[in-house]
Order: sequence, then structure tokens, then C-alpha cells
Amino acid sequence: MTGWRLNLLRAVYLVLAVLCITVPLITLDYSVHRRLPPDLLFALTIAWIIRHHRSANMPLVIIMALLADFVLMRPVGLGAMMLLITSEVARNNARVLRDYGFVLEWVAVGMGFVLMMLAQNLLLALSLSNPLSLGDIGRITLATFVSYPFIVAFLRYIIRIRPTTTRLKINRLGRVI
Amino acid sequence: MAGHSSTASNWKILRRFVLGLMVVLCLLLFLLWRIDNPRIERFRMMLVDRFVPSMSWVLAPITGFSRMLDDYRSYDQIYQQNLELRRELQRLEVWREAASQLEQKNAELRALNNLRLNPSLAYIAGELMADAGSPFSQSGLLNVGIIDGVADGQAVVDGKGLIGRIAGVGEHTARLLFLTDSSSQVPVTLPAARQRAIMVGDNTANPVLEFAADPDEVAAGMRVVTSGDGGVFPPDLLVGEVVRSPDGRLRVALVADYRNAEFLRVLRNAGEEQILGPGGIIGNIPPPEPEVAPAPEPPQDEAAQ
Repeated sequence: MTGWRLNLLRAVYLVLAVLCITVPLITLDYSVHRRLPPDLLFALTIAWIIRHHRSANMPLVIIMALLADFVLMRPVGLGAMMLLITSEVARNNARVLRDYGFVLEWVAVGMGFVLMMLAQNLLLALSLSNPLSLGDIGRITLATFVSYPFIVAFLRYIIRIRPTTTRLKINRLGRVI
Repeated sequence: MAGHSSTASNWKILRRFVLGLMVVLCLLLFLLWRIDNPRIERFRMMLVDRFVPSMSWVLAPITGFSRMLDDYRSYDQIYQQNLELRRELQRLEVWREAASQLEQKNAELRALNNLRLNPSLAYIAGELMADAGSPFSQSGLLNVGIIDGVADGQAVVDGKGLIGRIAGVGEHTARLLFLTDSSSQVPVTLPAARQRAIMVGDNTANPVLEFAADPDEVAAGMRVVTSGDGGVFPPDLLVGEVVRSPDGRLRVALVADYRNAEFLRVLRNAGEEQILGPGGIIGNIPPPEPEVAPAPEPPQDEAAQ
């Protein structure tokens, strides 16, 4: 992969991430029972990293997650930390997740999201601030889970990022690195 | 080959180190947010003030389109609505006549009494343009800011009643904290029961009434208005009416329409008179020190006399 194409993909990731932060701001209904928006930035970042982890690198993810924390009125720094850890876990297991096939990947990402939200709630409770109610967590999780395939389809058919054709690297003992 | 793989593993170690560092930094930022909230919130408001208006090219078309869809959906009920509105209009005509007569009478009586009213409230209208975007806060973003004279703590009303207060202002935008947010506490009065209470939001649609002097005296359906205690809100803004929740707690059904909130008014307090000292009757008050020495009498005075 040439350098300019990598940079182009990074720029595309940045633009999409900014859109993912903006879209939850849109609503006509300000009541308590409004539909909670999905965590689009989470879905985009994880889907991107599983497909092409070099273009959504750590600094970009941190910057975007912090921006989301600030703009979306979330506890500052906490959401960024959670997304950072989850995205690194996904990055380390990207190849395995890709090999699972889409449905298992989808389930794994959904479970990762629930774990992330629960860990976040635990930290919020430990720091004596208001944790989210389980109902809210359920509603966000459902929304994120439903939006994930659409984001994957968008990345696949419109942005056309594909997993890099990994030539298996084999070390001198014949093991796959 | 060995050199290559050792660089790779060095790189991996460095990466892990940077990751740990970033996690710790984020955690520190979170703790800082918990401890020194106002400063971070001010920074947040500054960032939002930059970010959201620059994204209005995304926000405006989608909001407009969904509003159009909403309007379109209401077309099929338009005939029913029309009939209802006509009936309502007939009833309201009677009320309008009564109100205008009362208004006239009121003005006459006030003139007779030589009554001086509170300085009227100045207001500025703004449009609600964005949601908080996460369930952590019940708030919205208004498109008026410091340059329009909006300041922290000002009351915001829609057509019917109080909807929230300003919590955080930027140059061109201001954050409106709704009454339903768990950090919203408003001193209110129940005129019918002659009691005061605090209305506390708890992220549900109906905030709780707390610290009422005699909760048994309070009945469902009583009107709730702001009391103006604490000097943040002007008094006598309509908030809602009392309801009793199934668990027996007193709650408030808000009159403000959160479902279709769009254009809102920010009330700018015209500045109340501050009463600083006791009046002259109460006791001996030392005369104020003259700020400048009295000028020596001009000699022409004597000559004139």
C-alpha cells in the first residue's frame, strides 16, 4: 500500500468519524423518552479496524473519541479510554475476527460493546457520579447493534476498504507470525 | 532476519507503552473532570461552540427533512384537527372577550392604586438546534450566545411555560439544561397551597417536588410556578401542575412541550434593585463620608448678599 493511499484512507476515516459524532446531535424530540442514538463512532471505529487497522491508527482514534466525549456531553476522558481499550483489543484480534465471518464478528462486537458499557458504569459508580440506568444501556446497545451491519456495508461497498491481502509471513521455524 | 524481528518486537513494546500512557492520561482527564468540573465544562462549551455551528451543513438539511416528514405525517389527521380547532376557537373567542375586559379593568385599578410593576423582562428568542447526543445529560443547544446577551442561569421558556435554564454559554451557542435533568433544581411555589418547594429533576419526564412544608396539603392538579427564591429565575413563571406518582411521591407534570421544542425564549433579567442597607427608620445610620471635600464658598456669594 502506497503512502498517499494510506493517508487518503486516514482522511476518510476522520471525515466519517466527525459525521458519526454529528449525527446523534440531530433530533426533533427533546423529551426524556426520545430515541437514544447509537454509538456510531464505536461501530465505525471497530468495523474499520477489523477491516483495515493501519489507517485508523491509535492517535486518530484517541482524538476522535475525545472530541466525541466533549461534544456529546459524555464524561470527559472516560468514553475515550473505553473506546481506546476496546479498539486495541479489536486490533489485536482483527485477523481472528475477520476469519469468523460476519455474523460471529457482529455478535462479538455487540458483546464487546455491552462489556464496555458495563465497565464504564462501574467506573462512574466508583467515582460517585451518575451511572447510566440498565434500560438506557440496553437501548443504546440495541441501537448500536442494529446500526453495525449498515456501517460495515457502507465501508465495504461505498468506501471499498478491504482487508489488506495479507501474505502470510512465516518465520524461519515455519510459524505464522 | 533476526534484526528485523527484533525491531518489530521493539516496536510492539513501544506501542504497548504508548497505549498504557494514553489510557492513564484519559483516566487522569476523567478524574480532572470529576474534580474541577467548571473549568472542563467551560472548555467543552468552547469546543462545542466551534464544532456544532461548523457542522450546521449536516445538521440543518437533515433536521429540515425530518421536520418535513413529521409535517407530512400529520396531513392525514388534518381534517379532524381542523374541526377541533374550529370548536376550540369558538370557545376561546368568549375567553378573549373576557380577558380583554379584565385587562382593561386591571389597568384602571392599577392606575388608581398608583402601582409600580416589576421591570418587564427582556427576552431573546433562539432556536433549539442540537440534542445532547447521549443519555448522560438532558439538554439541548440553543443558537444564541454571549454576543446576544445570554448568560449562565437565565430562564428559558417555550410558548407555555418554563423549559429549563442556561448552563454554559459560548460565543454563538448556549447549552439549555432541561428541567428533567438530574442536576436541575428549581425553587417553586404552589400558590393554591401557599407552600414552597424545590423541584428536582431525576431524568424522568416528571420532576419530583421535594421539601414541601406540608405534602399532605398538596393535591394533584395544583399549579406550580417559580418562586424566584435565590434570585436565579424570575418569579411567577408557569412550570406545570402537581401529579401524584403511583408510589405516592409528588411530581410535576411540566407544561413545556419537549416533544416539539423548536423556538424558545431566553429571559434576560432586567436587573433587580439591590437593597443594601436598612432603611432610615430602623436606627441611627452614620452619615456617609463625603467623597470629595466641599468646595470653598466662592467669594461672589458674599458680594451678592
